[in-house]
Amino acid sequence: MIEILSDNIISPLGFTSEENYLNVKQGKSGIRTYDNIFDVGRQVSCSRMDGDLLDAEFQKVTGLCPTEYTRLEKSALTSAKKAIDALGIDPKNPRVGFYLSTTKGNVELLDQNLFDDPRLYLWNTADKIAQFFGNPNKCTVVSNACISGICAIIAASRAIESGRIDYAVVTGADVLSRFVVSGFGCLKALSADPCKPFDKDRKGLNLGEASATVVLRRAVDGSGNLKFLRGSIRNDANHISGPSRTAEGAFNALTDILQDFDKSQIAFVSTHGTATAFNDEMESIAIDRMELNDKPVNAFKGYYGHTLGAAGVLEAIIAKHSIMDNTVIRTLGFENLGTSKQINPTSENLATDKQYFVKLISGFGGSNAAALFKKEV
Amino acid sequence: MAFIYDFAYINEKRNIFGKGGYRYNVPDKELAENNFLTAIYRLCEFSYPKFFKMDNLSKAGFLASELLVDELDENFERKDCGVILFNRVSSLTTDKNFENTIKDPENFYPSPALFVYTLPNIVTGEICIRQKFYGESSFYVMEDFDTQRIVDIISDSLQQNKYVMTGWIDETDEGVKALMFLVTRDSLYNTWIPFTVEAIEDMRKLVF
Amino acid sequence: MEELILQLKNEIIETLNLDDLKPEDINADEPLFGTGLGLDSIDALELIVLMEKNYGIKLKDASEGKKIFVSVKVMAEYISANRTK
Repeated sequence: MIEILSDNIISPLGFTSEENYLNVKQGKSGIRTYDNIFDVGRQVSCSRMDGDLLDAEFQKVTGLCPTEYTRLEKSALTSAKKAIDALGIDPKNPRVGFYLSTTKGNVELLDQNLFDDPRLYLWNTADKIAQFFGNPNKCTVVSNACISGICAIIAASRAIESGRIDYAVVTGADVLSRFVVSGFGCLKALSADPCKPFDKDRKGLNLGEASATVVLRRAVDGSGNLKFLRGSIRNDANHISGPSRTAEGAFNALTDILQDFDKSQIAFVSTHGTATAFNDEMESIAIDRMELNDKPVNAFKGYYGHTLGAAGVLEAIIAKHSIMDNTVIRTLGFENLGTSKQINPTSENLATDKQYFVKLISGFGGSNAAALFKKEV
Repeated sequence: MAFIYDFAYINEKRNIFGKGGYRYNVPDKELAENNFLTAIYRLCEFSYPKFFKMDNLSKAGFLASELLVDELDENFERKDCGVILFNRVSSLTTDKNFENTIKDPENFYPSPALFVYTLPNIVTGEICIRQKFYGESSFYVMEDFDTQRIVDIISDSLQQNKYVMTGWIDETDEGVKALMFLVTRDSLYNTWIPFTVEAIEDMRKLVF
Repeated sequence: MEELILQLKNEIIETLNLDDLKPEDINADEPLFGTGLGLDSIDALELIVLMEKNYGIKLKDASEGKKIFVSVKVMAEYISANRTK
């Protein structure tokens, strides 16, 4: 068993997890509507960080010069440093392993026509992180579409359980770019307006950018830290960009983590909830197949948009802070259910005294993951 | 302890492909008519029209996995097989191809068919779809073929997957390279090679 | 119309990477989706791009495409009536 020692979020809703959580609890969203962002020629709603504020925080926290680093590098380094500074661990220690979860890394360099830039390689960004902290190990890069964040948490946990490392610093990060906005746009996956997860009027997703970090170690009873109990990654074997009609992968991942488990103990399921027609429908089928129809489910995409490689880590952190606060967060954007299966998305913040939550997540390539977390009382 | 069920490979620069002890190359005549990957597809008489929609990484992954599963015995349980792959470039070639469809503001036509391949794990998705593998699919990007790290990561994943199809699938100016092996927890035959750094290093030197 | 149908067949084969097919293998009346050529949702999106790029016709979304991409013949008739290029 693993536990989360500390965490950090760098996003339009703040530069600490606490500030982010408070804003989410108060219903504030980082999503804004732009008439024309990145010159893609149409209205787009997305959640974008303020570059000047990021630069100032980056310089303050790392002491490095903002002009020498890309937006992604600044975001990821700031998040990792703040998560580590909250603890007494020495990041130079070889028993500390770094993990980077990212889908596209510095892809904005392609938009800048820098086709031969070595920073386009994801391991280049990962090396910068490890080098900054003076860590002798290679920083492991997980690039598994939108489920990367949970995959990185699972991979890091396995490395700790195996005894190869004692601590893992897992950072999920991605940035907005013309590349990504154009791409999702041509798939007709974007909503021009703020997204509406699970809603009958949902029109697609909003993109977002953020970095999020968790520091993990082997669980210690009585530490008060959130425990990560079980994780599972399963493929749909159906389509490379559309989810399975039977939610095969999501259902199998949920079945794995909830085996021999009393589901009545679950406070909520934090879903992927991107607000596309297909994703939300698929998740409703998975939840229905698991007979969790009455369980509160929520999605955080209405606050952050879809943050790609950061999503799994960021959303697990918000879910963590909410359960520590005995709260189930409202699904911002949700009003009326629009899925074929009856499920229970939250329309307001709720109180809970239960100890467990499930994180469910899906991504391109037919990938799905589920994770079970526990609050100690 | 884990074991290597079998392995398969493709190396465009050396014009070789094969499975286990069998090695082939593509005759010049075929290379004159088709590119390397399509030539292998035709020589092996594979039949999967979706092949032609894939980018080079997914084509290489498809071919290597088809070679690998060929004539595996009936004990192999597909639904418990995961696909975990590694490379250096992520999906960079396809990323650049996609960028070219949006570069020119006067000629802005982003291609959906290209965009869906701008993630390295799509290769794992294509393999799972074709082979009906419902296990764990994942992707890691590393600067070089780091055998120790690959063995560690796959050994970890075997705790939750009975089989893992794994390996390196990369693309450079010199062409595609793929080395794929099927690893499993339990050995069915005592001829199977244990899944160790030494064994993988031997394979890598043989084919790359 | 015949000329446009042939041109469209070639464009479809090239855009959708239907490498194993020639224009004479495609029946202008056969369904493009479902049975027939068995195209999928990504192919539909590529056809939307093709309509705009080659013929200047802007479709709002995939569902509008559904009615037009029934067969090559239906596509050709729609293009003939609405093209701006």
